[in-house]
Amino acid sequence: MSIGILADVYRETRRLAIAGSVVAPGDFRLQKLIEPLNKLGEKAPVFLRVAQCVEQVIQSSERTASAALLELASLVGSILYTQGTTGVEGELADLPPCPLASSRSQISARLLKPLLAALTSTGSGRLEQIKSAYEMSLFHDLRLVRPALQALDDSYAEIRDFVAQKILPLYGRAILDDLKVAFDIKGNVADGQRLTLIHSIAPEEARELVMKALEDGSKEVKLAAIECLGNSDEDLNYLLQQARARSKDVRAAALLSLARIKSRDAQTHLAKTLDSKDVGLLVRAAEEVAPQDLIAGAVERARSELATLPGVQDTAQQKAAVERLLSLLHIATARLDTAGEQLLMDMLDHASTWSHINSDPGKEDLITLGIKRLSAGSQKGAQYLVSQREMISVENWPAVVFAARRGLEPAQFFQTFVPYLESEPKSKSRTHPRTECIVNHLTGRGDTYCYEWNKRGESPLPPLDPAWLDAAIKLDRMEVVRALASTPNASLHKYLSDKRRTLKTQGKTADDWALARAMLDSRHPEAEQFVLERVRAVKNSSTYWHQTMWTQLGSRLSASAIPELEAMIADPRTNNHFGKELLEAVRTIRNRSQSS
Amino acid sequence: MSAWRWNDGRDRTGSNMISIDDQYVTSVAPNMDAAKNGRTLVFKRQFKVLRISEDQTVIFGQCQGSGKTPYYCSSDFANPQSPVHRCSCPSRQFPCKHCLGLMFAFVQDRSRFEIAPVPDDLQTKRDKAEARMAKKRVEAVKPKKVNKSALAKKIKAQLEGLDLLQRLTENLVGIGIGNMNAKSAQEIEHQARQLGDAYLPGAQFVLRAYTGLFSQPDGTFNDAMTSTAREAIYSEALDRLSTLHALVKQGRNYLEKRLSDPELAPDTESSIAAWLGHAWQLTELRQLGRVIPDAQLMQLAFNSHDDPARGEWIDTGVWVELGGGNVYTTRNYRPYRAAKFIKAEDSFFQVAQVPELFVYPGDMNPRIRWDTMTARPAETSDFAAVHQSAQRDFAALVKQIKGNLKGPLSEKQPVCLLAFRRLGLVGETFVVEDASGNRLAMTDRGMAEEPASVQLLRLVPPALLRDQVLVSRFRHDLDTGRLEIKPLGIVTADESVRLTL
Repeated sequence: MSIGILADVYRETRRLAIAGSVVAPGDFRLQKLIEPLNKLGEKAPVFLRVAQCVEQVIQSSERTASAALLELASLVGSILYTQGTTGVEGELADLPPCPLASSRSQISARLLKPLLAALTSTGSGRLEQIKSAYEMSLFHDLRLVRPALQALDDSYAEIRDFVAQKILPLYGRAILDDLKVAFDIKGNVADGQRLTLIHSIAPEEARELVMKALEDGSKEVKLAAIECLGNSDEDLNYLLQQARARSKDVRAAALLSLARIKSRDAQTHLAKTLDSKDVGLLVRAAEEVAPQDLIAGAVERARSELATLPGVQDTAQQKAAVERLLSLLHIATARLDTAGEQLLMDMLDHASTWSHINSDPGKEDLITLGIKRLSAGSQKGAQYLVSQREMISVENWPAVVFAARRGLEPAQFFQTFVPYLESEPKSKSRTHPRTECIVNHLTGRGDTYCYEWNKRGESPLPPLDPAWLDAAIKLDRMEVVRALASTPNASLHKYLSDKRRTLKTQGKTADDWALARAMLDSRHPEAEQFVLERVRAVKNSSTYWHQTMWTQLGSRLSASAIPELEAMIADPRTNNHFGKELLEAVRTIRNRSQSS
Repeated sequence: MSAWRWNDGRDRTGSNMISIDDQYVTSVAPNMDAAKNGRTLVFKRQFKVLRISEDQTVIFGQCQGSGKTPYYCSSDFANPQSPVHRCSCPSRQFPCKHCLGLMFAFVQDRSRFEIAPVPDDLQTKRDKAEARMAKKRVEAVKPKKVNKSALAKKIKAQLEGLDLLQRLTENLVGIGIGNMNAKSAQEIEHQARQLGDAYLPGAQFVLRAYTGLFSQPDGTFNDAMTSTAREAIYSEALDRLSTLHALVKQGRNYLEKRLSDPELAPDTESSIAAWLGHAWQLTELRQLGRVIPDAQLMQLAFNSHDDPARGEWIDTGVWVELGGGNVYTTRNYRPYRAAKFIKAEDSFFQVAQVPELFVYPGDMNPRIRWDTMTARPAETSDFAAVHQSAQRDFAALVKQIKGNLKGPLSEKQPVCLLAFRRLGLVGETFVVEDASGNRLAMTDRGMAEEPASVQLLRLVPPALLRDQVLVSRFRHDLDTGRLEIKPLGIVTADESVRLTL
């Protein structure tokens, strides 16, 4: 069959349908096709039918042109549907083998669809969805590979980073080609991440790309490329060159890579940088890599800067000197060793000589940094801070208390700091700031030092001396008692019983709640009764928060409390919020009693 | 279609004692929220009365709601393959949270259910249902009585609707596809509503699909469409106009024939009846012999997509009937307005055992439905049956597909099983080849209902790229004149790997 002429007829029909059938009657280009169609019709009648339809369009009036044109379009369309081509010429090559090991796992559409939407669309709550899918190992389904790759371009940086750091490395070489195809040397942060991924998957294959990115890459891509450079002489030369680049970010990335290289030239350059204005750019390198020579060099230079600081009179010069000192101190104490610690102690000893420094940053910044670093250091540093505690400002006291807790024996810590707990309040409404510091440390309320320490997964802090509890009881410090009550104790139980009798509120104050918690923690015989009493009391409260607080404590009750809690749930007067909270509490109690 | 089940509600011995588990109750819930709410009712001990009939076929109870009077709910397993859930609550969800809660309570602790006589009103309903079933069974074999005057009235209305459709279509061609603008598209949308009143929903959807080509993804119209974007849709638009033209012609012939002979049954040889809005009843299909008894089905692909032209979400399953080897589709329509009350289907990885499979009239992948089914794990023999059903000769299959595509109202993107020898690359094109060297090129172009899948072939293990079965959707590209396929999945000797949803 002569497809060419039919394709021509279709093309003309399409043109007329686009322009409107009003221009179809007498159309010259369509008319020209009638003759060849009739000729072909002698061999195949279908062409005659097409010719007739074309004729009808040509002969039509403005009123009948639409119907005629539609008839022609339908006929030609039907014929062309039967003439679709399929073959593909050329050598059929095998697909390169894919190393994706677990590609066969398949998850249901109900799970897959929202995840695909989270990876490829916008909106809130997507990161949690992606994280939870990652934890459920759903990303082994091959249908998620490309959406995950697409998520590298997500507008939400946290999703981009999570996908780049956690999900895409799962696929290894399987995504290498896709990463290369999508990589744009002039691109943005996402392309920088692509380059980093390519380099981490196949460092040798990535070499060429890295070198090209160094030459022609956009700023973000170039930064990623610099961080991909390694130990070879060529790299070293390049890094040394980039460490003097005009862009600050480029210099920082080059310095970071140089810090990873254990060559003399690299170390020499880093040492030189300590004396330059770029000293601040070395902080990240020191914190991530911590080269010994660099740290030692920073200690030495910091000492000499400290020695000259008292003589600096001009405020602008003070500012520059302090900024430089702060950078040097950050580097010198990146991994706090004896030399660094001694430096900080010497610095704090001489802090009194900086009274003339009025710049910003100024002397307080130096002191705060020194105390902060010492508080996380050795026992010697902690003891130093304790010995200086009266000289140290209230703002820096949390660091002192934290250091003392770490560095002193529990009894010594108690003896040293209990007087502050006993000190008289400044006024009826205002506690002494140092007392507040101790209370905060004992209760864990707002103590960022302890929080950061635990977050980093460091070794647990030494236990507190039991005498703290007695002191808190004696001083009637309910919040401290609540924090320290953990085991049954006669004097504690007596205190809590007395407290319960004197409390007049009905579950609506923090004291009330602290008392209940202390009773539960210390397994007070009246604890369950008290909590149930309070849960009952807040049943009709209009403040949901009170109900939530008390049902949380309710979930710590024993199984014997279940019937009463269930009775409250079933009570039609119980509001929905409270009912749901109680339901959760009952479920927790049941699970706990079943597992025990 | 009935809800998927892990079992059919009977116990393992086959007696009618209720044997349901937590998974079963969750699976019959219309959505996850309903299941959760049902569970909460149990936790909150809202069921004041829990009873079971003496013959252990029905559970019933009273659930305290927000009002004074409790809701009376029951789950009746007298016919275990199709349990009946009844509740006095006004919920439109089915089964409602009270029936789900009742079943959860039963699963949790059946000893809490006291044996008691079935309440009179429930017994009356059961008797009525039984009588209805018996009547249905009788009526199923009785020829359907046609209300001739009502049918004639409907057909006349449809013919008038077709006149309107013809006018609209010709107007569209008259003004030209290239001159469509927001105003004309909105006018057409407005007029398309009248087609729904004329019992022509199929025509209404095609007309909306046509205007949809000129609208934004959010369904709004504007005139800011670039000329390149317009050029890309012209061929598709002309094809849709041809479809409307064919629908007018074929529809008029069919309706005039039916008007002259009201006894005439709906056409089963083509899909014209469905195009004109005929909703096939299962009894009708049974009468017409469009039933496959004891069918075993394996789902090979699934997708759930939004169809703005219809105003519905559509869950589509592609199934192979293991006995006959034909490829069928299931469609679950969830109109936007009622989506909350209709259970969304999910992909299915087992084998569905269907006592009575109803097949709609249609060409290549007819729609199927069933009332009841049970599930069993897929076995090696099932995958062997899929391989057996696949087409080995691409040339013959292509001929068959082309023959089908030429019908203006035919399925334009049929799904077929291809037994291929090799799957690889020719240049940048993914190609599948049969044993005789016939080749088909793959593409994602023009098939947006499912996510893109061609590039996923790079990620599958090499063993899947030789001598397996490819589940493929065909599409004829009007601009290039090429017939191409989109891979939906690969079936091996012991598994089915899905490449789309």
